[in-house]
Amino acid sequence: MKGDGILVLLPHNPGDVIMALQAVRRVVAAAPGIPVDYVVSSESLGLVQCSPLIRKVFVLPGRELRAAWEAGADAEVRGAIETFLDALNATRYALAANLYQERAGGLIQGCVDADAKIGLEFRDGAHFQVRGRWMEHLFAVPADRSRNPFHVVDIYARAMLAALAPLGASAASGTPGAPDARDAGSVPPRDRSSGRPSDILPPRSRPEAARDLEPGGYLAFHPGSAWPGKRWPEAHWSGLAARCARAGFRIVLTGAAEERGLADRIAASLPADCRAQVENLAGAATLPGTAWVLEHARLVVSGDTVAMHLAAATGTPVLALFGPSNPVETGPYGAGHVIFHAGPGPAADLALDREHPGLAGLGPEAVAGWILEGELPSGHSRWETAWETAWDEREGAQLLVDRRRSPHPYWVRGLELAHAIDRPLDGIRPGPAAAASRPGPRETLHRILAEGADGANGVDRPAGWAPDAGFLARLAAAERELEAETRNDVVWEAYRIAANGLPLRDFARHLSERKARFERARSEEAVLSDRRYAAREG
Amino acid sequence: MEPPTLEALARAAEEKLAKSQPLSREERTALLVRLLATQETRRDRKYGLR
Repeated sequence: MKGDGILVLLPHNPGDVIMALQAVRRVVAAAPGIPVDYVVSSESLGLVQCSPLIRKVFVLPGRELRAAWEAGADAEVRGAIETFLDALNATRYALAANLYQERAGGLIQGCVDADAKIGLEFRDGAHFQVRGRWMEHLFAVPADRSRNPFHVVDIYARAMLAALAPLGASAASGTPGAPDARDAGSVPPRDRSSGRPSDILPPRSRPEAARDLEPGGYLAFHPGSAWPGKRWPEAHWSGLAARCARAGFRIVLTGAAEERGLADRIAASLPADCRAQVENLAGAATLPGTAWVLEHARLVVSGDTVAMHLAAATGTPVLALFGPSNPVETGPYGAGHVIFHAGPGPAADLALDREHPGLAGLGPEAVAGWILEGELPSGHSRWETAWETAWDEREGAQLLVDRRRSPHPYWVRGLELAHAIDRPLDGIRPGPAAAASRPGPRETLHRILAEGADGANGVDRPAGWAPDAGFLARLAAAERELEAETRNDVVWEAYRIAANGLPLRDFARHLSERKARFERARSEEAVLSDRRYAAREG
Repeated sequence: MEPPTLEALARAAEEKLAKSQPLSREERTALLVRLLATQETRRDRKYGLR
């Protein structure tokens, strides 16, 4: 490697930043000693600053820019951004990993100096381009969100490791930290002297409001979420707290300052005999303080929130309540956590901005049943499922297993896709030949791409060649036809994202690269499902 | 002559991006500033990156 270490760009949101740190931990485990710098927003700085994984932190001057922009202070704005970019440019990196899926990240990535880059980048003469096979698939996930078979941390880590491998870094997988080995079900014992994940977060500090808490002697409930669709109903939290309090547990409510009202209402709704067992710390602790409270809980119960990711990162067992989001993709990372997934359900209601019917149907008695008796819920609704997080050593990836230790249905599809993504193109068998007898949109598009890339008679294109309007119209029509057939297919969405970013300055080269990406997508699709492919084309 | 404002440069950058044309360093910086300053956080759902 010529460059110095890795630059990771994922400034917010806090949950995403924690997941990026989990991925960095895997990369550092595979390439010990490699320095990692990080670009973070001021809002998420507390999660990264002083993290033992991070050498240097670059703070995106968002607040300062906003204030100066609103005041019309152009010179000040220019100065602030130039200073930030100059600081980034002072180092040539081995790898610049832009994990941020926003345009601003692509513009910053374009200014970074690195031997290799992955993720969104803006380059001259191109649309925004996504670099790296795994990152293309990350961008394709929204098309197939509810069926994404990978955890985001594993996508980040595999994307970085794949980019580092040609530079000489080891490709070992790195195992995520796990909570204590224990039997599935019921509240785990507090002794966590072994098996804790290595630390990725800055030091935690015990908040003043938690001075009376006995470490390991309480359950932490985190009832809030920025998204209404991810919130378990308030009355359910009350019901759960009452059941656990009566069973003798001390309960701590956590949350941000704006969630204090919610926590107050839950505490006030409890029967008198339970109130003394409940401590409301929502809004009473800073981020390091909240992290301390979560770290020292015996169990954390939360929706798909930053608190869930914080607890998992500190090694505290988590019981996560999922509704519209996909726990395979963003569940607690590390083995031994439990997830109740009340959705998306037959209607596939993925909306985050309104109450989720599946979560409402998951009653407090089911959650309390697991906490107090180790009983997994069943029969509360027809799509409700309980999962435990596990780690597959051979694949280097997190998977979910059910109570019989059977893997989540997405797992097999995910493995096939992962192998197709990681394998060199020439190692993948070609798609079925059946398509040739009756050309479908794939064959039509392939013929047009080949004609454009190689010339109708295989003659080299002259310099500066550009296709005529008729060719471009045929190409666009073929792409539209294929898109209509493959919408919401993660393989073809990844192809379209890759093709969208290819430079247009040299059309012959553009078409040649586009054809190569098309062929790879077709091969991946063939690996995933010969039968599905044959049925469509034949 | 007055130098173009950041807003004008950012607008020009958007127009060039739509045509897949190269940006000057100034335009790129102006667009970055606008995205950060206005907290544009539109996640790409359907190639909104163009």
